[in-house]
Amino acid sequence: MSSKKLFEITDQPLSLDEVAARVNRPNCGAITTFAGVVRGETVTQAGQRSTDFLHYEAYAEMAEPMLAQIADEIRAQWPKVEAVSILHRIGRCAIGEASVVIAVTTPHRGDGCFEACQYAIERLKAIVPIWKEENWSDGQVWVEGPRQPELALDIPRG
Amino acid sequence: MKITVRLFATLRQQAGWKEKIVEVPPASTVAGLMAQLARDEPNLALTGRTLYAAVNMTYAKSEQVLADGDEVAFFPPVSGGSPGRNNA
Repeated sequence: MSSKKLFEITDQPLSLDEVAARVNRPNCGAITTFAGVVRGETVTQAGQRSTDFLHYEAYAEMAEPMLAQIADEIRAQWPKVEAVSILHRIGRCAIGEASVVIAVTTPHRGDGCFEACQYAIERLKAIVPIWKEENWSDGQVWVEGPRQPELALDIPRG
Repeated sequence: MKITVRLFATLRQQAGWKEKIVEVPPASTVAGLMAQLARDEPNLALTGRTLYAAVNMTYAKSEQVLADGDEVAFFPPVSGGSPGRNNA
């Protein structure tokens, strides 16, 4: 188990047990996990919308080091965090399948594992170069996340 | 000098390619490379939208000066992870 990577972009199905096992440490008594799963129905201002499946694309060579960077940020903020693992799926994901799984372990539950786990998913969504394309029966669209001003380029006037 | 340009998501689809070696003048910047792409790739919409760039897999700003052999990626705001709050 220790040979498994902690930060991975993969086209294989994800499991919470698997990501939790990657952070299990003998000196730790708390593991928090998070799974983001593909939602089939979204309520929008225009009414309910159905998704058939999502397709994820990543800049994997940049994304994996950025996942490790998020773990470094977590350890700076919650020094008792012993290990963080973040696995993200690419390719086609069916409704109900996990697209991302995260596990954080600490010696005790009050050592920041809950907060760190939430921090990990929020940062991932803001800075890690992964994109999703929503597919319905009659079309598809790339979802763009909210603009992060510190990352955005000043676009030359065209 | 030679720059490896990589595109993702909508940009990749618009351009019809995901990776290309581009020849640019010495001391070109990210902005200079974008201007060259805007000229040479009519299908690639680089203006009027939010874009991120990375040089050698680190986020970069438009004034960053490039070196021979750099890898420069352009992409829209990232949207990985779980659905989270309603995007609509």
